[in-house]
Amino acid sequence: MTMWAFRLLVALLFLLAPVHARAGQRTKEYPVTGMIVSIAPAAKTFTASIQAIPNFMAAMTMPFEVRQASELQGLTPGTVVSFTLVVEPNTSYATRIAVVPYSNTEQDPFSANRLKLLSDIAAGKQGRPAEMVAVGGPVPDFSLVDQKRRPTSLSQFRGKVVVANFIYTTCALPNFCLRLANNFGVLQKRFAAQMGKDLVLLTITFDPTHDTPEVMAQYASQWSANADTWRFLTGPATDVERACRLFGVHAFATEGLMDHSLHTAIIGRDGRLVANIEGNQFTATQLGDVVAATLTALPK
Amino acid sequence: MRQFVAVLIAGVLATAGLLAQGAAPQDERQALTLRMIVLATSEDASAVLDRVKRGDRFDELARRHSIDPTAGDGGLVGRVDVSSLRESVRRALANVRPGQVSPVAQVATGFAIFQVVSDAPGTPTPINPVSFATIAGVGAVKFVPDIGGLPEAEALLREFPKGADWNTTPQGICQARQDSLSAGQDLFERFFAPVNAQVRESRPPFELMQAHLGLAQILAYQGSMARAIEHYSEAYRIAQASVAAAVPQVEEMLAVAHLHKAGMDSNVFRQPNDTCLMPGAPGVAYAKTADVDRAIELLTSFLARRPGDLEGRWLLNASHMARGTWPDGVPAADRLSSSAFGPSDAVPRFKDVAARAGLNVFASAGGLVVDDLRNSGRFDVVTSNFYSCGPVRYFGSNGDGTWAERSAAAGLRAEVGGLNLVQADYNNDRCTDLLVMRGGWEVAQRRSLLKNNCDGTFTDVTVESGLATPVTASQASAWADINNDGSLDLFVGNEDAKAQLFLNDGRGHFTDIAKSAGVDRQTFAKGVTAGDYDNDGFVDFYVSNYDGTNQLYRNNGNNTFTDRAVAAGVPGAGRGFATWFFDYDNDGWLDLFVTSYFMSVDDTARTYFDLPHNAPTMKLYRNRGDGTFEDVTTSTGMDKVFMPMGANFGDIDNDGFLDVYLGMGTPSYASIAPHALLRNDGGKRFVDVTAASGTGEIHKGHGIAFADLDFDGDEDIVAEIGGATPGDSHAMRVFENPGNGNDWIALKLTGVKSNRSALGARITVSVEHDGVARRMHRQVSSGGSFGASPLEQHIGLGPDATNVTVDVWWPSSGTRQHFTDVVANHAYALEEGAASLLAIERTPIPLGGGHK
Repeated sequence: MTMWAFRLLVALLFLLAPVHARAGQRTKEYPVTGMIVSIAPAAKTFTASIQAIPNFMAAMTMPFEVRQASELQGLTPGTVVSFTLVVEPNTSYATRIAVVPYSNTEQDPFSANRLKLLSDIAAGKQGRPAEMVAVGGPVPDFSLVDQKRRPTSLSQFRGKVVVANFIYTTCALPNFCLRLANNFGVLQKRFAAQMGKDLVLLTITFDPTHDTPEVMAQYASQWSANADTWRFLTGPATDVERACRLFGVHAFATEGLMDHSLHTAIIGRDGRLVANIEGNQFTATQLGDVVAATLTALPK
Repeated sequence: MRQFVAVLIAGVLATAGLLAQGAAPQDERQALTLRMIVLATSEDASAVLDRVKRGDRFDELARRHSIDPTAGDGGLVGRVDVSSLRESVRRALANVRPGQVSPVAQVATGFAIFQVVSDAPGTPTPINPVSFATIAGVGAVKFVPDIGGLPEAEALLREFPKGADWNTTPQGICQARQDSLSAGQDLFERFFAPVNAQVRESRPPFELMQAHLGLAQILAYQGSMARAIEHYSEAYRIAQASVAAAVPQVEEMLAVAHLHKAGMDSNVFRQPNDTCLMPGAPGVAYAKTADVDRAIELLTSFLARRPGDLEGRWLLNASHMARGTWPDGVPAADRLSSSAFGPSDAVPRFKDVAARAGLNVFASAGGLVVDDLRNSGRFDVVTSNFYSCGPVRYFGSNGDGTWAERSAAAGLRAEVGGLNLVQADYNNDRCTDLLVMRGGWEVAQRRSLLKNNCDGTFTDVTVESGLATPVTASQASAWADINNDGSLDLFVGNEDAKAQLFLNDGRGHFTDIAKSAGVDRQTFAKGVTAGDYDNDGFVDFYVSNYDGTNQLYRNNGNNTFTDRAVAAGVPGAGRGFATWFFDYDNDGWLDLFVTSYFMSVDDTARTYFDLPHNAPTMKLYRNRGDGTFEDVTTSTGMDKVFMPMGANFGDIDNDGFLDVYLGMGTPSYASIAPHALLRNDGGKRFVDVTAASGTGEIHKGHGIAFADLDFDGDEDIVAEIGGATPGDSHAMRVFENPGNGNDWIALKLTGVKSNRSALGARITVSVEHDGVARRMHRQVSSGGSFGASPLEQHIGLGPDATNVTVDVWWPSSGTRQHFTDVVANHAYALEEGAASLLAIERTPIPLGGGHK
């Protein structure tokens, strides 16, 4: 049995078997952190891919009930939340749900964020850049070149789920770019059956000067990426910058390296932005769980 | 009796237990063949480890659960060099025998367990780069945070609207720099104006904190530390109130800002003294220490949040040195041992005489040329300036141990900017010209070829020469005659474009033949050096790259080159910077030295705290004489990690063996680290004699030159000190060699058929001492790739040298000369083809002008 199936089984057992809560046992509360996979306001539930709860539960994806549908307001897939899981004798529910805001104070993103602010102030911009796509909004088309030098546009994948991340191949900090790209290596295996048919992965460089298609092909070979279904995109600087701006990706050349933000974006079959996950503090499993939900989501 | 036996047995067992604990063997295996399973969380990794221990197969578990690309191969990574692994992995693998599995170790992409397949020695096998990156030490290096605002200033320079040809003249570049900086500062200050209070209140605390930090950095860039501290402090207050995760970083920024201010207020940047040296002497302190006290307070708080943090510990020790309270003032747990810096009496002390000599140029980072540019028989000094508006400055020797600035008289008023400088007579008129390189670490900016008019003035002939376009970013170039036609060609390594190889047509014009020559690779080149490493009469090049493997371009003799770096065993250490060819063991074959430049105070601190490194060390490669090199880094004691920038070599004690001086630092004001003087002990080991020599300057070391400035027969060290920002400007230092009892000879070669500068000519000096014959081998060059010594070669001969013979080989023309019975301790002019050496009359002059 795969790890995921195992986890799902445990989750179901937990939910369906009141035997877990012995009669007479008092209510227990557990702090939980996880990534939203999907929300179902009508059913007053949300599904989250949660980290392990010490001495209670392994990391898994499972649905949680809330008392009021309003508690789900503002929650979108990919959002990291912290909440309290209340376990009573015959029921359980989540409460005090708070979005964990991404304000990465790790050295590199911290500095990139400041440089972005500076550039915006210098260019006279205020607030969120106009070009950045909001969650739920349609993602404009963009065209780049893949690792086999084929012109590749987002629009050619309409009807499939597209997941995109942003890297540069000479990144000095492997727990950033490399981890994001490696997440896709895990997705490529997990969703082997859906790759190309229902799911396409795009890894886009923000250093097109160095990361030519040939360099991207070499980088892609490290994960034995299928060039048709996991495309490594580069292109003219203006085209690359435009694609990056759509997802709030900014990168600054600094002393031979680049300070940059970290983004992984999920685009639904209808071309709308499902999630834009910042940072690297999530597992490939959590990302995959959100992708899985997006794959099975019914059209609105 | 039974009791006695019982006690005896108990005693034996107890002793055996003690011995077993103490005798746990150090794991000295060099290569391991490994399998690996990487999981996203430590809980997942522990769960898989449990299953291995319960008997599940490692390779099956890897296939099913590992998130690493090696999952498909059952987790098989290959054979790795243990010293290349990050510390967490090395610790996990310690004493894990073949067949056994390691505990969980944190790696870059998650958490891993390892199974040792074999510990048989051997060369590393190719490994999936993803797998290697996740376990490699180089991926665990902690980079120093920028404090001082260079990235902010560079971002402003990029963002601001500029004319299309802004970077085609030095003045245009300066103007763009000034405009972008003042406009950026203006905008930030308007954001903080009282009228915008409501706007500010509506912004989230994180953003407000970043805005304060942004302005603080712009102010720190310019050296306005008091105002910068106001904004760093406000950012600190906001962090403490609302952004807890940012507190340690901002606390460190504020501490370093205070330390930098203390240095500026104490005037150590303009008038350096012993407080600028590491290790600090007890009682020697900054004149103004109030800000140092605040820095110590903040760093102490920082270390309470991040106990054992090496960067924090290092800065705390540096602060106490500034306070005069090192080492005893530092809490024992954080203290740097006073023995960390080597013995205090290994060599006699060098004294800085720059101020008396008129050479205490106050400037930011820059290049350096020391050479006889007026054919006066004396050495002049030229510096360039990384700051776009900083002038190129020319100091002419007065002949009395002092120098006077004559930049305007030399026609250099229009020359500003330039991180590196290198000299050569490119037009064979016997006057040495200068090349100013610009754009290093930045964006493309035009270089300048300054033709020496042989009358004390220079003319910028860049455009006419063909070197002006395309405009590239570079600080790396080397002059060499690649086709032996007697004219010097120019290899330029670029950071943003392909390398260029400019062929000299003999009439002062250059054409780029890089493509047909096979050297037109695009890398982030930080150093280029020329040397005929295979002694075949055709000069070769080594390119040192910041972004990967270096290139060893072997000259094929027909204007083409072949890269043999990997085959020859000289790939470098991954982030190459300064580099050179030199014969460090005097066997007649040019060896190769290349630095490793990781901007990491943490890893440099490990050198002095004697802790294992994550970053790779610099590299020394010994030429085997068969076209390949042996990596002798470890056996020669060169396996150290520093932050070396400017660097050069010379013979500090005239024992005939070439020593090395490394300038240190990064743009960050937190990168306080001593330069290193490494004495070559008999061609076998390099020993750090910095502490004893008094040359451990902690500020940013750029162009370095070795030159006998005072003609007393020993090489002094000139070091262009200054950081990348105007707020980190510093006076140059001239470390006067205290002298020694050994003999020497100086040879000024001039080509006749070969290029006039004699670049590439090979010298062998043979001597006898006590009946034992010795040879010293040199090539005519300015030394290293970042800092230029005079082309006149100073050669130490060791003690009581007799039967001095000089042999010269001119590869371009094939000329060989042999001079016998040369009198030691003199300088000679040596012309290609001449029958005899011409003694140069020189009397020693007091360096600094007579105040000994």
